[in-house]
Amino acid sequence: MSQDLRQVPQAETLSEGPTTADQYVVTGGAGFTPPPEVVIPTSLSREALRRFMANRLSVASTVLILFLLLLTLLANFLPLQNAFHHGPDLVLDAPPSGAHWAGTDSNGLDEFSRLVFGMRPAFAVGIIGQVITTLLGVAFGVVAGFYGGWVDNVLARITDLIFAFPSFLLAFLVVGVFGSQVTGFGGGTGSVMLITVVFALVGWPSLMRFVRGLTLSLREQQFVEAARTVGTPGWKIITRHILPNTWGLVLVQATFGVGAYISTEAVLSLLGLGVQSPNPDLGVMVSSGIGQLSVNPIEALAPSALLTIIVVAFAFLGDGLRDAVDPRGKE
Amino acid sequence: MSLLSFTIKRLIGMVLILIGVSIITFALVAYAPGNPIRTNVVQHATPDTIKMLMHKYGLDLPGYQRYFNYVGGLLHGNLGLSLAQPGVSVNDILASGLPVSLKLGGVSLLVALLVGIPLGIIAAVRQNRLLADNMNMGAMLILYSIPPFVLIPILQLIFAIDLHWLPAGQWGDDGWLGVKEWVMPVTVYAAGLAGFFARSVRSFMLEVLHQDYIRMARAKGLRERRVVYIHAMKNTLLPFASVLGPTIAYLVVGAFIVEDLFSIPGIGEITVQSTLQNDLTVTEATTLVLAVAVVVINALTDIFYTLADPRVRL
Repeated sequence: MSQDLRQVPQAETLSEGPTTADQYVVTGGAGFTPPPEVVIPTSLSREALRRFMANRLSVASTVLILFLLLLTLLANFLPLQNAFHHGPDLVLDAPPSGAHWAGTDSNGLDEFSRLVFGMRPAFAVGIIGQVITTLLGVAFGVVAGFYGGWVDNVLARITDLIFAFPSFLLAFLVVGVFGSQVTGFGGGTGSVMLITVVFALVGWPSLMRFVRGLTLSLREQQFVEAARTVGTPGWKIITRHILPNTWGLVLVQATFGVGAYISTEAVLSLLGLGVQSPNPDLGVMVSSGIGQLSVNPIEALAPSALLTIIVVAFAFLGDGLRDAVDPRGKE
Repeated sequence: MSLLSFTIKRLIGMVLILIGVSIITFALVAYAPGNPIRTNVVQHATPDTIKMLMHKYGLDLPGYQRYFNYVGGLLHGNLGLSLAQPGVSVNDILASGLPVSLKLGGVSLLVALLVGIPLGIIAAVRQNRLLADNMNMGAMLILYSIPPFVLIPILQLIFAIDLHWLPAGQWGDDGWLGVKEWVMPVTVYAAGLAGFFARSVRSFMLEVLHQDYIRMARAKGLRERRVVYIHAMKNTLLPFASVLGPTIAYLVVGAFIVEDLFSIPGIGEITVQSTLQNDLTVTEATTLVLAVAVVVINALTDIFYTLADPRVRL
């Protein structure tokens, strides 16, 4: 019986969709003292974490992403070759050796260090851009879905417009217009910041539609109705009841979005519109490496392989998260 | 909603979105930081020359008037003047690239359809078979998810540098060499689309094959070939219109990467080079032309869809 108390509501709610962890707190009536083993809290997020940890591919991807992220963040403190100025042993397009693990590029700079530093724009645009996109998308989506009315209408028209515009073109146009103004700023961080902002501005509508849909369905559920009945103000219903029920699925969307942002950033830099040449960036490295294919193919293959690995790792991570927070979606 | 009122409503929506698109492209370029004449056209010009050029480009007018002139020009098919090459019309700059891009995109789309649709059908009909479904769809997933900037260096390394079978970074030759120049760009361009088509066709087909009318067709003793290629095929190709949107977006992005890395003088490459030279009116024009194409194609798809499938008429 004590086992049933813990298990049954869980099985029910799982089949209905994600709900808050609060629902599982067993509060017995008078004289009910739960035996110690019942108190073990198996909240929904803990269940999701368990399912996620069971997916080896996703866990491996997470470890890989964290490793690469740490590597690029701590690059300044690691005993790497100089990625910006060549040393006295200047050799152009050198093959891999003990001193240069991935050889040198056409400027004689260490390819491996440039790969490590070159991940910075990718991660910065991918993660920071996606965080801003998510904040905007969730804020607008919840407001549009919860309040409806003219707010919803105005936002729907704006999203229609941005949806009709192919997002790559819009990003291309904005980066093209403002790119030359910011390239000199902060040693290459200017273009990274510009691209991040542009992606966030172009990217939020799709997330907004997603969150709006979630909010619309949550709004009609009984626990929201109950909250409304006891006079809970709107903002409190949003923060206490709606948002906690959306974060799992939003996180999944955002994870997939990071990969998309990283590859679009690489494409823009590859075309010469993003990060500018002396600054290390994977897209820039692919573009300059293609010219050296017959001399030293590693210069193009290494950055493009690294980019693919990062993008694919985020895709696997997203897959694992989706199966973890929404097990019904698993075929 | 009747078909006519749906069509009218959709067309009005399309026009409103087109106006929005024109406002966005215009405002971004018109209010770009810096004086476009001073940064672009002349380095050592007298104030009088700049004034004269500002007048020629209509930049001395107030913003709303410039917008109306811009839209008026657009309605006459006039995309304005180039900033980097004074006096040259943007139409002339883009005119040389547009046929190249359309041909390249068209051929690649055709190849992707010819490869993707049959593979998708085979995978659906022989669901869960190792070779026909699992390995086939695995390969398609790889094709779909591998970015062009990875595929291009690998292909160039193998076929141009190691084997010397195909030329890299050449374009516009006649005869057999000209044909060989097409092979790699079309392969890269079509690869992702073929994977996307194959996977969509498989899922549409599987959905249709599980419907009652297919069971009925089989029950009355029709040949399997007829059931699949006539009965199921009709309802498989219909939702295919819904993948057109992502296809167009893919073609646009593909045009930029493929043309840039293979040095093909198409509209994408022209736009990239113009943007790098700060010739923003060219960027503006390309963005607008491509965005208009996307908006119009999406609207036509919606209308076609309601015509072809009465179930979506709400």
